[in-house]
Amino acid sequence: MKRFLILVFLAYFICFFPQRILAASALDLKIYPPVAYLSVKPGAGINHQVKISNDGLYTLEVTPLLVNFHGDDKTGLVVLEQKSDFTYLNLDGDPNKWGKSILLKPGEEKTLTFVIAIPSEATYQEHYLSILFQAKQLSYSSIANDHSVVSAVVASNVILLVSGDEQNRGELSIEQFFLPKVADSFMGFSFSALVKNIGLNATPIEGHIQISHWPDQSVETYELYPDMVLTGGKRLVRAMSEDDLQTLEKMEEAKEITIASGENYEVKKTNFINEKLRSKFFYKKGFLIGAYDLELKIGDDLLQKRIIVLPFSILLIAILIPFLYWIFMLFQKSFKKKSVID
Amino acid sequence: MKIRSVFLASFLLFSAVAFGGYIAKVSAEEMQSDSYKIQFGNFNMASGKRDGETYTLSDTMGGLAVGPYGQYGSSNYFIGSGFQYVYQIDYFFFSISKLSIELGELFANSFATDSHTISVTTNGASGYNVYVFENHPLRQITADSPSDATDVNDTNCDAGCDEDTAGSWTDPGNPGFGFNVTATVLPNSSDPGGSFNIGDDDVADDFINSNYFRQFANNEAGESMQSIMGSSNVALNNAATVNYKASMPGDQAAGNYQTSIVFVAVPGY
Repeated sequence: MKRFLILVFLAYFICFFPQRILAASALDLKIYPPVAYLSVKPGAGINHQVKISNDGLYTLEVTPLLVNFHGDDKTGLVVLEQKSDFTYLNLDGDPNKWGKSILLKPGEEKTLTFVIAIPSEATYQEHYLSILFQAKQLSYSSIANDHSVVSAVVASNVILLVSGDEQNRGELSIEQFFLPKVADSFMGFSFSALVKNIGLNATPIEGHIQISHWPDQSVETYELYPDMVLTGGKRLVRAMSEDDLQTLEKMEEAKEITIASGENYEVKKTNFINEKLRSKFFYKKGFLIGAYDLELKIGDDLLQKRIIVLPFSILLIAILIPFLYWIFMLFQKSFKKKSVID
Repeated sequence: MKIRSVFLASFLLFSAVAFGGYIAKVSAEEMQSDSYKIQFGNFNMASGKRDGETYTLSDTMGGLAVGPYGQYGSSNYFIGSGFQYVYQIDYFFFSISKLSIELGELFANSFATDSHTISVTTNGASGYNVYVFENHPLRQITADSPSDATDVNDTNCDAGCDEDTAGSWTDPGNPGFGFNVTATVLPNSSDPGGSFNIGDDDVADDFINSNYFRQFANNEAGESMQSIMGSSNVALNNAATVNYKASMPGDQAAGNYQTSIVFVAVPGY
């Protein structure tokens, strides 16, 4: 009987403990959405809801703050500013709730409603805002004298367009298309592109990069990833080749089989995306030779560039061989002379 | 007695199975098909309009309904254009393994250290950045006279470092307080660069190895927080170990010093 009871207790602990161990971080915050693109008309309002979850071990004091941000003009990373003077976005529509903390118990998720109410006289403008949630462990003592405390701030970004209509006025132009003029047949070549939004609101990148090499009209096509470019901002385009997109699709179709075989599907997929979705592209397929034409198409903007690929390394060796042979002969002669004198 | 034991055992077994199943269930709240995946599916769950005194209110729930503007909001932006298997918007996770840095009592010519891990999951391909700052330098405040604070200044390392450039710091004779960040692989994490070569992982490149330390940006002195970790790719439990190190000047009294460190995790757009 005792043995049976021990077995039952073991089953109980086996069922409970692995999940607890997975959630062992002291602070574990989850936020949704990390970024939201909102369009509001002057004189209208919108309720923007943000979910925040505490999956950590302790009750947290969470304090919302609002700051502006700007892009890094390269990769879509957010650079926070110190403050925001935007007064039309407030928690529950109450400006006094900024800086006031709420409690979030372990395992608890709260949906916070931010009211965005735009006055009717507001002008057409895009605002880049970050709602920051400063989270620290709820402490009952005012001063910790013997240790330092760690806390976290997690952001949820809002890209807010104040516009009288829903027309997309974003317009992308090709700022730079980096491609060398010549390359070696054995080395392949790399290329990248930077786009600029010359329009009036944020807009996603749309287009492709196509490589053609006579007689093939398309030896490789890269589909551009729909990254957003902020108004007046720049961004390096990211893309994935059509072959890689098909591989990704097949990977998704075989998801259940992958999981059944004991592989971690999410890790496998993430690694694949990170490896293939690049902003610096590299083209190398066997031995390249001749002229390769690259066409970059962003929306209606089209730019073509050509790269000449020749076996420069072979040419270099061909030039160097007679020279090296001449040096070798020179050494041999002087060595022979020395031997005769001796 | 025997019946009672069997009843107790059955109850515990039932609880184990029932609660074990419950826990597993709550972690998988998502819908999916061959062509899309929606976590916490909420396409405009709370949509509607309400009139206020000066404006009309409409609701969006959780943000999935609020895609890019105009035509893109109702187009295939999120689930089309061949990239439907790369999630554009998903939950953003940030975790810190512990919330207390225990450096213990500081002495001259001796390093005191502590560490913890931080980890980020973006799921979406918009990337992230993690910044850090301190509210003030390491400070000793005595209960008797709270106004007489003694600071351990931020480190200058062995041959110079500041809040945005790390330097080698191995000599405890050079006093100060600083931190190092080293990429870490957690279970179920993606592999940011294969082998964690410099420039491949998400950690700032100036942390060449675990001997390279930076000062914290001092909020009290108006210094701007500095990025320590970031990526423009998908992050899946991308983690780093933050190592804290302090050494005290010889002319200061040994004791406990404290500060407050803030990590700021910001998703990309």
